[in-house]
Amino acid sequence: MGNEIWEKNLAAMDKHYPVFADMLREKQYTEDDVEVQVEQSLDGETIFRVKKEEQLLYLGGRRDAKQPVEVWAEQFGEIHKYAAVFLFGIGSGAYLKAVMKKFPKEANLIVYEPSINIFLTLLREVDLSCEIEKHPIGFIVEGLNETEFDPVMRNSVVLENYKYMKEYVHPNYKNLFGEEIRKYVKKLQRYIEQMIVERNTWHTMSISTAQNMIGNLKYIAQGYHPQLMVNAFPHDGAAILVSAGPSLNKNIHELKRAKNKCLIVAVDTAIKPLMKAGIVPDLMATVDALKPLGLVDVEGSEEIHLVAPPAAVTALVEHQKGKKFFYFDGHALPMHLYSMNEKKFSDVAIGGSVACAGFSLIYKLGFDTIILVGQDLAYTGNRAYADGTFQDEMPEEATSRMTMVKGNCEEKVPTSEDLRIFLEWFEKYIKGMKQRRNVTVYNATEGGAYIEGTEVVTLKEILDQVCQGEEIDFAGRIRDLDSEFSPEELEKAMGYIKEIPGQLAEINKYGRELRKIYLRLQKQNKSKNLNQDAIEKLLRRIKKYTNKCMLIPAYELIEDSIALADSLVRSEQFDSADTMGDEIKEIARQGILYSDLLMECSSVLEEYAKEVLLSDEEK
Amino acid sequence: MEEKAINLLNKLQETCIKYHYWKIDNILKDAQDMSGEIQDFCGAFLKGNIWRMEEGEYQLLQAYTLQVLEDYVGALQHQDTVWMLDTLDAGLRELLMLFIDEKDMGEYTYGK
Repeated sequence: MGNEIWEKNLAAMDKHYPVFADMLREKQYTEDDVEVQVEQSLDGETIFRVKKEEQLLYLGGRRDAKQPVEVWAEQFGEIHKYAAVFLFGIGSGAYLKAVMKKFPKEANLIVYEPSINIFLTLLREVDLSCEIEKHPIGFIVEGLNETEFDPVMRNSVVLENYKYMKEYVHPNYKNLFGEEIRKYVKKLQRYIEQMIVERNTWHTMSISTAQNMIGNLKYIAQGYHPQLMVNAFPHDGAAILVSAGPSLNKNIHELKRAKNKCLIVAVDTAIKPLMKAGIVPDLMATVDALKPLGLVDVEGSEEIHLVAPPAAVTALVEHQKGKKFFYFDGHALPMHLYSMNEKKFSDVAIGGSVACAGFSLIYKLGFDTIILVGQDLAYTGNRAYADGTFQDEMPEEATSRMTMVKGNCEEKVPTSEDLRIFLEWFEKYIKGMKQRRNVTVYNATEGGAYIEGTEVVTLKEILDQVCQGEEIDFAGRIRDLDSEFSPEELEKAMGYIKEIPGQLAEINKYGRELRKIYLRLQKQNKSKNLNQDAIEKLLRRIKKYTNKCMLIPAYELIEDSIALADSLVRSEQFDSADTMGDEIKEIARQGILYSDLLMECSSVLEEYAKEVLLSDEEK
Repeated sequence: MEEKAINLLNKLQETCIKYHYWKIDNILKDAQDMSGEIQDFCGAFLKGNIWRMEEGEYQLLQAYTLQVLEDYVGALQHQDTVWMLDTLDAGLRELLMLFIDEKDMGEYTYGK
């Protein structure tokens, strides 16, 4: 009987994922030490009793295996048609079968099973062929294909549907496979948290991003990018990244003796406390499209050279009178200024924060000894930043509900969701760095969260080591660097940016056309005699004008600006109805909204671009 | 017996509600706290055929009660939540309902 059910289950799997079925047939798995006893409940269900090490636990009721599942299914509620549903632990398949009874065909079901032995027993003892045939199920089984969890998770859970996601851990699995279950549940939770953080960051910055990019184009066109600094000074010494964490208060004064002994790169938020302490960094890193100028506006700071992405705050960029180095951050328009001159526009890993970007910059410049200062990544002393940054004395904040992580000096320190993501970025980046080069990262923060891969030291002791040898005028050498561009190439780049207002005007024109077409589509859909040919013609014209828009390089600026609306529109589409008429109605609704935004944004940006990029005569 | 049954049933209901609706899956402590009452209640079925049932039926009742107690102890020993919930909800409940009229149970009913 076991063999018959096995064959039936595998034959059903062949329909949706034959490769997975073959892996099972060919025994491409590693068995575990779990023993599975198969019993029958009094109400006629197959149940498993599982032995793992010293534990022996039931995965279904001995008397009544059905009722708890029915109650659970009722509690589980409706499953949205585009939901991703995660079941952690399959047991004898009862919960899987219950979920499948009302599972929408568009939704995704992912089942993670920590024991290959339980999975194999299930396939031999329980006929799941109907369920497997009816709907593809993403089986992720430890010892078989556990590496597929990440890609399956990323494909199933996206910004538009994460709010409909459901997850459930099979009873007794937390006791049997606590570590494995926790690992994957946390993975899923972190992935969603990161998606939300990125979405929130993206929304906040999208409008400012376009304006900043336009405002910075004339500086980007000057042709200074980070890679130019690689040969400006030796890298056998140390470089210091100064961040604005609360622990900076403790040891900032030590940095004075590092000047001209180590390259000092400071994040924008650390500038004020540094300048107040009489320390002028060699480079300032900035990233955010919304940073207040007040953070860096202190006498003497304007001479500090700047490293920034194209979308950095224009006011801040203009404030800095030193060299301005821009790096490729994924936006094609600034890159075009380099590629049109057949030059490479160097990049820096952004990681979501200015400290991440500064760290990556130092690594890419070639330094193998990197010192972190003020890199708390935690609310050390219940404070978010060092004194002298946003306020002269930073206030204490409520941290009781924050996650506690391992500290450098304290056993545990509180950290926020955002900071924990950056902490993980640092750890992953350091791990990657060390695989490529012999790099040592010293964490001289003297507080904050412990970063895996760093050596915890005091700033005094590491500076005693590295501040030897002759002085190097890092800032001076940066000042003396020549542009990537020759005078002719510079002229060419400056000439190109003057075309931007015209490009935006063209996008505005297409926006108007698109709106007219969407309105006609809406009208056509409302008429009693739905003309399929006319609708198809209109849809083709929509495609034509949309493509025309997207091919214009300056469209990139619009894309960023309408990000919020795009996200709202995209998430609402999952709530739309099922008929053809409703679908056309929804397309028209979204299209009109999109066209309105396209026209509004292109018009606003066109005016701004004219103001910033053209001379009075050219306007 | 009726009073004992009602008290025990209320505790059982609370435990089930915690598990199914509040998603508190550590019900073993609650179950352990009921041990005195469970022992006392179930013990009555093992003291002899005081209800003057047919001997065959009494033997079955006795065997059933012993099985419930055995499962109860086993579930505690193994710290098995699923086993415990099944024992209480599908096992002990049957015994309790011998003394309780369903119409007196109130809003929440679970099980047969």
